[in-house]
Amino acid sequence: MKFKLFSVVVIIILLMTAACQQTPSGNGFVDPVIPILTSSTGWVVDTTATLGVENERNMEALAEEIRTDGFQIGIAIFSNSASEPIQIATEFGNTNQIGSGEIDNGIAVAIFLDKEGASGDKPAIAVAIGSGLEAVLTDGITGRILDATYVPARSSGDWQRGTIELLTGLRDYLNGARGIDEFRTPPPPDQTALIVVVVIAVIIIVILDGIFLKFAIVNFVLELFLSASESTPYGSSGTGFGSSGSSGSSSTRSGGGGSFRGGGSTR
Amino acid sequence: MRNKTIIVIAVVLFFAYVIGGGLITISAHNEYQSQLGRVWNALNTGAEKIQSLQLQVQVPTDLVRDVMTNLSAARNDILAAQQSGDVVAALSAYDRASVELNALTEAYPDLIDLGPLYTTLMDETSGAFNRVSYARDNLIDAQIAYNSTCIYFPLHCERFDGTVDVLGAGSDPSARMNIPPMGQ
Repeated sequence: MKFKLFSVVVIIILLMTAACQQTPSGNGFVDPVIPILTSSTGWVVDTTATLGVENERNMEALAEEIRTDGFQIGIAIFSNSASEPIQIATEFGNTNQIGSGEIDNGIAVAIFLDKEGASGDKPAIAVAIGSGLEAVLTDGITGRILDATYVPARSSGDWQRGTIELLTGLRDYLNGARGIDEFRTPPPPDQTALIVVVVIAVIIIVILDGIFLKFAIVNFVLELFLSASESTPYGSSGTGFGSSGSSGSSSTRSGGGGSFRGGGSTR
Repeated sequence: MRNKTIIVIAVVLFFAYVIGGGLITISAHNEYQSQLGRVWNALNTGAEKIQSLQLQVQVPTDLVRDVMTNLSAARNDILAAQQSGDVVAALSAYDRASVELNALTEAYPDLIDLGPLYTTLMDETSGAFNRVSYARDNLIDAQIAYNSTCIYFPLHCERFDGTVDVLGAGSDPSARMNIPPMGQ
């Protein structure tokens, strides 16, 4: 009798320990591990493997369009969480620093397959908005975009389509909202003019060097390069083939420095 | 010869410190001033949006009447602080206005008949308020950065009357926090 009771207690403890283990997709007792967006994961991370290749490709394409428009969006799909969805979305945004560090124009979306939304349907969704972008994409507007796109699709049982429609709605809004240009990351400056100036300056220096110094500077620079290449051992400056394997060599995706204060919408 | 070299190096270092320190301090001070300007601009826009709300919302219930009265008082305080240039008082009034705005959002069922114009106005007001919060965060960062340069270049900072008071630095950590109803 005592042994039976002891066994039951041990089993309960083991089950509770297992439930409290942090996993990538999370559960109702423990928050999920916040994923890091990398060039191999793309902008969409599905820790539950339920999204499907086609849907993930479509979401990735929309996220890339949003990035091209001068914003950044990251999407993470989890099973469940102990914390509120908006807290996880905010943490996901802050961990990956989605958006520009100067204007904080990122968007972080977190979906929880086993969590009920406000309407009682699953999965719950939270959209966290970067603290700068909140000036134009307010909680109210985000909520209305969710109500028009994600919520009806979720009610009909197709949350994947709802997520794609949400991304489409956000993309369209970001392209047409008043005052949005202030929060658009400008495209990188054209370096062509600088390169042309540098090349011309080098040519002029070489010509002057040839005329007045009989190529003394050129010879010195060449000698410097030759001696450096002779003394460098093989592999000391090459790209290593470490233990990272196929998944470890990817660079982080965003890292723009964007921050999230916790504003956003949950449905 | 050796002494001469030391003197030359010392003079060069001194001028590098004076010129470099000047450039860094002026740049940090300009950034602080520009962020302060953004806070005032954002507060100004927020005050304008409150006025638009006052014109639009036709006070259907007691709750909304109270909220609008408080919003109006907060707006007047923002404008008064603007006149005196007291950014701390202006931001304090803005905090009170934020609480009232959240209460107005909560009172949506009373205001649903006001239609899409009201919704647009609420979005714009929320956006203007979010802009103030963002500008305030950036101002605090700029104030801290400027004060940091004053540690290395105290004489340069004297040109700008020394360090600045960082927003919120003197607040009492044991005081009750002003938590808006929606937990934002």
